[in-house]
Amino acid sequence: MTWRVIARRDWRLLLDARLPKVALVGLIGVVSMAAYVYPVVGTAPITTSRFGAFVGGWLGGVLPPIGVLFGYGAIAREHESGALRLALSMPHGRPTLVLGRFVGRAGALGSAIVVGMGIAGVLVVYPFGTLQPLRFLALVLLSVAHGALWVGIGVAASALVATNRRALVLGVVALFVLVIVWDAVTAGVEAGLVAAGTTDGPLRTAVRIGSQLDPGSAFETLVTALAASDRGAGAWYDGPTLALPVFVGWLLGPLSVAMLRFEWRDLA
Amino acid sequence: MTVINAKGLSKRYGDVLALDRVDLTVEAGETFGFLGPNGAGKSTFIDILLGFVTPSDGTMSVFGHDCRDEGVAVRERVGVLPEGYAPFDGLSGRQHVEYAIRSKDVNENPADVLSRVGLRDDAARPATDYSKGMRQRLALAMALVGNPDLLVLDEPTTGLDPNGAAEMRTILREETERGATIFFSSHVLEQVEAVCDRVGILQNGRLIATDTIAGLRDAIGGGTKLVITPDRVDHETLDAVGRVDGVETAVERDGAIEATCTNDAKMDALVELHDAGVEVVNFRTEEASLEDMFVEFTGGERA
Repeated sequence: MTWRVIARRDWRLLLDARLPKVALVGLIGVVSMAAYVYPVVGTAPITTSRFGAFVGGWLGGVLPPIGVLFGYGAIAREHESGALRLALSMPHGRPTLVLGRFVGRAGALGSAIVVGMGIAGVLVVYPFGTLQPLRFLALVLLSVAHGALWVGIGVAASALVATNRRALVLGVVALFVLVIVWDAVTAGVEAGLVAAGTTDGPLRTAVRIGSQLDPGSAFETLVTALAASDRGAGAWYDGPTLALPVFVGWLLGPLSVAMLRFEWRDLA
Repeated sequence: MTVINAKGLSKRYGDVLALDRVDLTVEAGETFGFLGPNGAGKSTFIDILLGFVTPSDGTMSVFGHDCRDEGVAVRERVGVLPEGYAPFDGLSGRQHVEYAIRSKDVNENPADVLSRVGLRDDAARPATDYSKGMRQRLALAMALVGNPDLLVLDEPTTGLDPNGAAEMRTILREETERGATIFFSSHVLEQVEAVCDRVGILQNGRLIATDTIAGLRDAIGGGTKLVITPDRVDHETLDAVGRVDGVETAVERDGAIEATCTNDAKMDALVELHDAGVEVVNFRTEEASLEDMFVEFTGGERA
């Protein structure tokens, strides 16, 4: 289990650096702030499950850049400096190295999310809110997984290129496309279809499905489903039936592709 | 027992053939020196051995494990001092060794390992602040963790002062006495000559010679070096010596002619000079050094 050795080293290095520490404290602050505001501006009943739907948008905005920030230097920085040669002179496989780096970084981000959500849970429940423990636990785990998903995209960018700058550029492009461009393009196409009088049919369905295929939409759909007390009558692609496999795909897909690619790359 | 076994190993980068059908075996307990001019392909060979690079053709195995497909099994028994490496950001020397101990899953005292390479007093400093020589010592310390069966050292004396180089040689002798096999790549021929049982000479990606140092000396006709101090040295003088049967090379150095030749050719060379009207002020014979042999084998390229 040498990935644990790698993960522990990365965890320590990450928490020793100033920028990641500031990002983690900021994240805890944002989640706590959302929990502080939610009982004031939210509608009754005030519950930890409904808080999920409230904070989902906040997390959707904050976690992607922090995740990519944590991930993009995982491999490329050491590839560029030469430290990767030292790392790979140890009896680690390359996939193990990538996995260890991912776990260390995602673990650090996940810990901050757990702390932030813990504080948030207290703020939501006290004095008039209700704790729904299982759903709240699911919300915390889902948020941790969302953070890990973006760290995975950053680590994947890092494992696919040879320099830190290229990894940063690739990570930022992925962030920009998946967070901003995806929604804008699908919304634009859908508006165009409506303007053209196509309000139904397979083309419209395909566009609606397409709008649910980015990680942020999948996360928000799952968080909303956790908060809902009953299942709505929406189309299947607007609910967890599509969102869950999409979310898992984004969580595992980029990292798996990068691990495979990294394993067979020449590192001269 | 064969430790390193390369068969028909080739590596091509675009149009450049970095390694060309290299066959090489290194046996257990050997200290093998790998020589070659810059760009000869030494680092490519070691990169393949460590699984950093996939060969274009051929195979290489270490302890019977394929270097690419079973890289972890290889590195479990190998300590590596890679060339062109950098220490990890944010870790002290001691933390580097601790990382190696945990990675190799062994139970050793980091202070003992660091003492062995002379870094105990600097153990707490960030390794990124180390000098080049200290970094080499640190990488050697990490390589020594776990008493590996094979040590692969790529230009290990780079950046070391003479004392550091001597300490490195002492450690290598200790490792050999322990039973470790050592694969040592260097362009510092004195280092190789001092520690290696056998050497391989690589040039333009091809292994042009593999033998003991005595064997290489025999291969160039006994390996005697004749150093002649004539009253003048010019092209004609060098040509005169070079024409003698049994003379392999004749070069001018510091006003003297250095000729690598067979024992029988020594007197012929002196007579040839006399016949050419050159007065011989002094002469002496030396055993050909590894550098002389290297120049001979590589046709003049320096390591």
